[in-house]
Amino acid sequence: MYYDINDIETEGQRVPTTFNVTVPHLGHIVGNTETIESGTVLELPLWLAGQLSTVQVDNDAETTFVSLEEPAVFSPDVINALKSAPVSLDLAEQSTVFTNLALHWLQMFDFPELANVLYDAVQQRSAEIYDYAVAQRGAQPQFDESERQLYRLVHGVMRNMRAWQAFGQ
Amino acid sequence: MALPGAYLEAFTAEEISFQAEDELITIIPRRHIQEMQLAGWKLPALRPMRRTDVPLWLALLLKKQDRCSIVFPNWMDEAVLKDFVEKERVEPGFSSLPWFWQPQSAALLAGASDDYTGNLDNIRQLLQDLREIRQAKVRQGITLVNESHMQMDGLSLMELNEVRPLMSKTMATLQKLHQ
Repeated sequence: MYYDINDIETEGQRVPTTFNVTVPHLGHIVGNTETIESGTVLELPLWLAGQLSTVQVDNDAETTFVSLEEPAVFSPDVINALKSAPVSLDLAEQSTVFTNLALHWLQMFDFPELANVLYDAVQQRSAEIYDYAVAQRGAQPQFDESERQLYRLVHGVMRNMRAWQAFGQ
Repeated sequence: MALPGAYLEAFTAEEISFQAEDELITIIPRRHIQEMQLAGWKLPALRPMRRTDVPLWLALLLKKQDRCSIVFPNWMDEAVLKDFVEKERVEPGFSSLPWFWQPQSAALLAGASDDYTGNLDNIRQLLQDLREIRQAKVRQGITLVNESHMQMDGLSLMELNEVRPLMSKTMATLQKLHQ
């Protein structure tokens, strides 16, 4: 879906990749004109990395151009933090499009731990979004971009309700 | 249609009030009014002191012109409302208030408060209590929602409308994570 600015932003996130083959004259993607040696580790945007990691070098070879590494935002540290403090963790500090990036990543790879931890976190954080939209008490919870959009939507509905109630009484 | 984003995801409170105005309510006319064919509905002849059911919008209009008094619905009695609040506090589910309880009570209290026989402050307080207790239950329910199931029967249209955008988007994300 390219109609959502969030998705464009997500596909532009850089993820670490390792080159499986030596590619001559591809240096321009890192700012020079030289050959990229096999084994080079580069951070590529997700849209490019995703393609290169699924396309085979030639028809009968198993090798793909690059292999994807796990991005730092899904490191065990972050997952443990999300598991132990699903509500207070600042997702935007990890990545402004954390949830979306995770959804993209899970489409490409099996990563049950991330899926399970994020599942619980989404449940609890959506209650938090509701609370903050009903009454802005305390510090604003740390939302990532998709959560912020959802918050704005819910807050708009609540504000409309409050205005209507005030008018009716 | 070019609508602002918020209008695509949920109704506004005003739209729901508008729908609620089609609910029937009992009035006691004070003057003779001949029967009238209105669009989609026929107003029967109104005779003084004879109770008749008319849509809320018409009741409020006639009330404004001092041609009728409005009989408040049974569930808005102070004693009945107290029962509702009590039940709402004790039972885990939502009590079965009418589908339009918020807009209906708001419109009646705004337009016909002098026809109410009980204490207005008390009933306003009870309605507010109901709203707050139910909102707290909705909040609890959100954490229990999973990718394929949510159950909140007994919620009225206006309350559903408040949680609909949050619920639908959260469940969509959970569904993607579940696969």
